[in-house]
Amino acid sequence: MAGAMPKNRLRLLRFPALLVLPASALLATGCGGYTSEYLPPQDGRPRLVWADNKVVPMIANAVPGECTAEVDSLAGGGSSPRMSGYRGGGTYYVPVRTVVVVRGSGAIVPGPRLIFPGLVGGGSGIGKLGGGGGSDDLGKAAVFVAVVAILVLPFVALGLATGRPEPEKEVAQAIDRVNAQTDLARVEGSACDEMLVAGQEAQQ
Amino acid sequence: MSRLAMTTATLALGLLAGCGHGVTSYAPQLRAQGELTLHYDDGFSMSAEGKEVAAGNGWNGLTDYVKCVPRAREHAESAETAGAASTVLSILGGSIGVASLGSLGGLAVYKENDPDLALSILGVGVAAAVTGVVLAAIGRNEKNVANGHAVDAMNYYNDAVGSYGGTCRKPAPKPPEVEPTRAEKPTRPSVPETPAAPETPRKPNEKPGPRPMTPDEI
Repeated sequence: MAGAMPKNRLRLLRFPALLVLPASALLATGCGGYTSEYLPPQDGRPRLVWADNKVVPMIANAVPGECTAEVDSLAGGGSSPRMSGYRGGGTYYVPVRTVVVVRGSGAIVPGPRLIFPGLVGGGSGIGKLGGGGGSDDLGKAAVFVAVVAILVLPFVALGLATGRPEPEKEVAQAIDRVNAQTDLARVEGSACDEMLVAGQEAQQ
Repeated sequence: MSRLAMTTATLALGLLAGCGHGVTSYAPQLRAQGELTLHYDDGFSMSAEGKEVAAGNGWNGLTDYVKCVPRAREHAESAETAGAASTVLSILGGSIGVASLGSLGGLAVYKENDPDLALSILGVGVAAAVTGVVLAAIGRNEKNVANGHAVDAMNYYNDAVGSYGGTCRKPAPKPPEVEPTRAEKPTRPSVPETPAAPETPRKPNEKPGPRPMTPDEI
């Protein structure tokens, strides 16, 4: 019995040793996501860029308040009287000009910024299993932990494998709004008219 | 013990698989012919010319569609590579994770008074389960990488070709450049019109950086 204790503990030490390989793979691959380096054009149209594991609406220009209201209405299911009577030339929109912003001097426009949630400190550690019992207690505790891990981790793996990483509703809304504003940017006289939005930018 | 474990497992599966549901409801109306547009119906999808060009997470076909724009092609290739990797890693991770459940047979050995063998079997099971989680997590990260590159490929392609109505098979001529002329529209009456501004030569270094649109703006 006296020789069994070191032997059991030696076997228990194999648990963390077996985890070295997957942990190394995780570290080697890196957990970092992808962030777009793309910059939207200066022509008054919004773009979707990738940041923080989702699409984020981005635009180079200030957006008039009326434009925001029209986008809200259109993306929210409302109809735009301007849009309904505007086809832009057949089945597809045909661009007739490219808006080029010529900026005045002295403009100070904030650069791109992304808001990241602050890291919340603290956390709970793993409590001790057992309290200085013999090798049997240690062995039972190890078996308990192993069984719980084996029962839970496969479902975590399945969830990670089959789940969608992006926040779905948020992503869908962002796409809807950018698509709506892009349409409105092409409607002459709308509050989001690219000539108007880009023109304001040029004045700043 | 098993009830606690099953409850935890069910919760973990539900949370990680995502209980949300997202679908785009607005259909773009004024699109140039070859312009790529993004949709979402519990997954990303890109379409142009009235048909789907590519979809996440694999993004197969995107590279071929945007190949005439070098930067777009680079991002599309990265998207397809990461998409394929995410598929392989997700299948491997899920499979290894599920297979690790077989190691619970070690409990039978434990009851037959061979704790050493039982611990060894369970230990291998834990390692397999953790390996499955790690592979699935890397696969999940690759999904994000694939989607991000695909969105950038769309942006670069649209800026160079798509927004002008062309495609890589049939490029359209770039329309003439015009300066904005309706800046005096009444959204900012306090801002005086500066007629000299449009005539100022463009200085690329003075261009402002873009910024994310706030919920109030868009």
